[in-house]
Amino acid sequence: MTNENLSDAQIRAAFIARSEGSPSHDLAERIGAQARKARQQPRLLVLPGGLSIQPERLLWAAAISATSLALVGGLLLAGRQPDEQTSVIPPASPSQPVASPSTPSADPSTGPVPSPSAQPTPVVTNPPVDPTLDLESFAVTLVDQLRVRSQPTVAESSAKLEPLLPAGVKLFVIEESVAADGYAWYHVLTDTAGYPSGWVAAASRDGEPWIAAAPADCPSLPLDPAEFASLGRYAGLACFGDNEIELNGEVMCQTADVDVTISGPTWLRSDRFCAFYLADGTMQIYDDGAGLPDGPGRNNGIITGHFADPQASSCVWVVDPPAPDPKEITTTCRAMFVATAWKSVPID
Amino acid sequence: MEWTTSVPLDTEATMFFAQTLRASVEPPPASDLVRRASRGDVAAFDELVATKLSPSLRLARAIVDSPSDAEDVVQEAFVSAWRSLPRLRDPEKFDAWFGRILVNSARTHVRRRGSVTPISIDRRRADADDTESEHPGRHDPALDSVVSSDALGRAIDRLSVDQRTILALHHLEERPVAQIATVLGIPVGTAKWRLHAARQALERALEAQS
Repeated sequence: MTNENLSDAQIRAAFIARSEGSPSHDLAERIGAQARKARQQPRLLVLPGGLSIQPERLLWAAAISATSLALVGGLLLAGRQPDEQTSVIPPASPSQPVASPSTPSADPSTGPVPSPSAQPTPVVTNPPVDPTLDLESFAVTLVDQLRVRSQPTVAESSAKLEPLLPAGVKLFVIEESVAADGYAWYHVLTDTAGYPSGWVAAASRDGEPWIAAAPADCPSLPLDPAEFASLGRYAGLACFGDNEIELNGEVMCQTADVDVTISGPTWLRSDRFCAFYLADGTMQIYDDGAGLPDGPGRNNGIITGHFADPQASSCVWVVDPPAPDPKEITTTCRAMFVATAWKSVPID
Repeated sequence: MEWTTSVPLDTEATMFFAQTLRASVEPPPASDLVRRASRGDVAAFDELVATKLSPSLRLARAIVDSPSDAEDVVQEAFVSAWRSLPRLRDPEKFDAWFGRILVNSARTHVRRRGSVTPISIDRRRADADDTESEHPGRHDPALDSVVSSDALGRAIDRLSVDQRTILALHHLEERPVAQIATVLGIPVGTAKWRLHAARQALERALEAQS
């Protein structure tokens, strides 16, 4: 085919061929089930000047402003919202405190609003770092609307990332804790699509925990395809670290044109692709001199290898910016399974 | 269930009855479903998903590498849309708004995973070569068409995710450039330029195979 012959109709036909097929019979059900578990974000009202505000906050602010302007700021900055956006019940008494231990904020902000009275400014002290969250371990969010930030601080230089995390989101800790602005911060990756990775505070300044350790359910060795699949994106790293482990199953490598976004380690090749066969798909593994067999067919055997390869520290983003945080890139590489030995085991 | 129609009651009787009849069997307009879903009505959201699922999956498949990945992308996009629906100010703009979520979800998915294009011997191409070597003087346009379509598919595989996305929006979805610009969140002029560049990239990828 020559370029002169390339018509819009041919391109359309090629795209139609690429995208044809019916959805899985249960796809709509899966989406519905996930939506029922997910909380909707609060509706926003746009105020003059382009400022957006949640309606509940506006009502609360209006009620409270009659008695205490300072409390309005406290509410806007620190109040946690009810789940339903349409039912708003103003406080019984406008003068009641807006920030109490029962309604803590999960959004570390710039700190308490200065009081107009002559009260001494409270001294913010950094809490002891929560020792229960290990590096490269799992945690889970305990509260709704937990803020993720780009840096471990409430300063303006630390961007507020969207969306806020609901309760129950699984987190993977990728850096040692940092104490700043009265909070213990953890750099986390979220294993749930749609949520940002970044820094979260482990607890409120009052000590209410916002996240907690959630140890991985690690399978025993050697791993079979089902157990390997159950590891998910980071559990292999959490469970086995850099220990050599064995996989029993089928593998196939082939010459390929791999569109890589990360480069660095010698085993992260763009011209060869190795897949380990799971029950309902494949998982990419990386050949570091193991001699994994090339196709055309699958080959059964025992693969020895590890996560957390030392070369992961050389991983860099090689496509268009914005690049993820370097620590996130390194962790992505550390979560890759690198094969170091292969033993063929023919199926009887 | 009774759906509202846009026909005023004081119009001619025949038109009224025709419209009423049609309204009684047609599903509610998408904007109504969007409005209800944005207030937390999961049943309305289910209906909205049913309406938009096939075209969404078609676009996702055009962008990502495998059907199962495409389903993941569509699932992520719908759930993300559900969460953010209360913040969509104009229900009439749902399509462009959701298109943007879907496209972003697909691009993120591809970039996270890294797309893979296996290079394999093309059986049909090999068969065609054999046929031509046996009959060097014979030209079969139908055979050409098969080979060309396949080559074009492989050339699309070699494009970047952004190039595939804009070509799919234009050629598969048949969206006008202004709407593509809205979905991608870029100026119309930039969309035109990127579309042109993607088309050139496709031609280069095709040339590289020949």
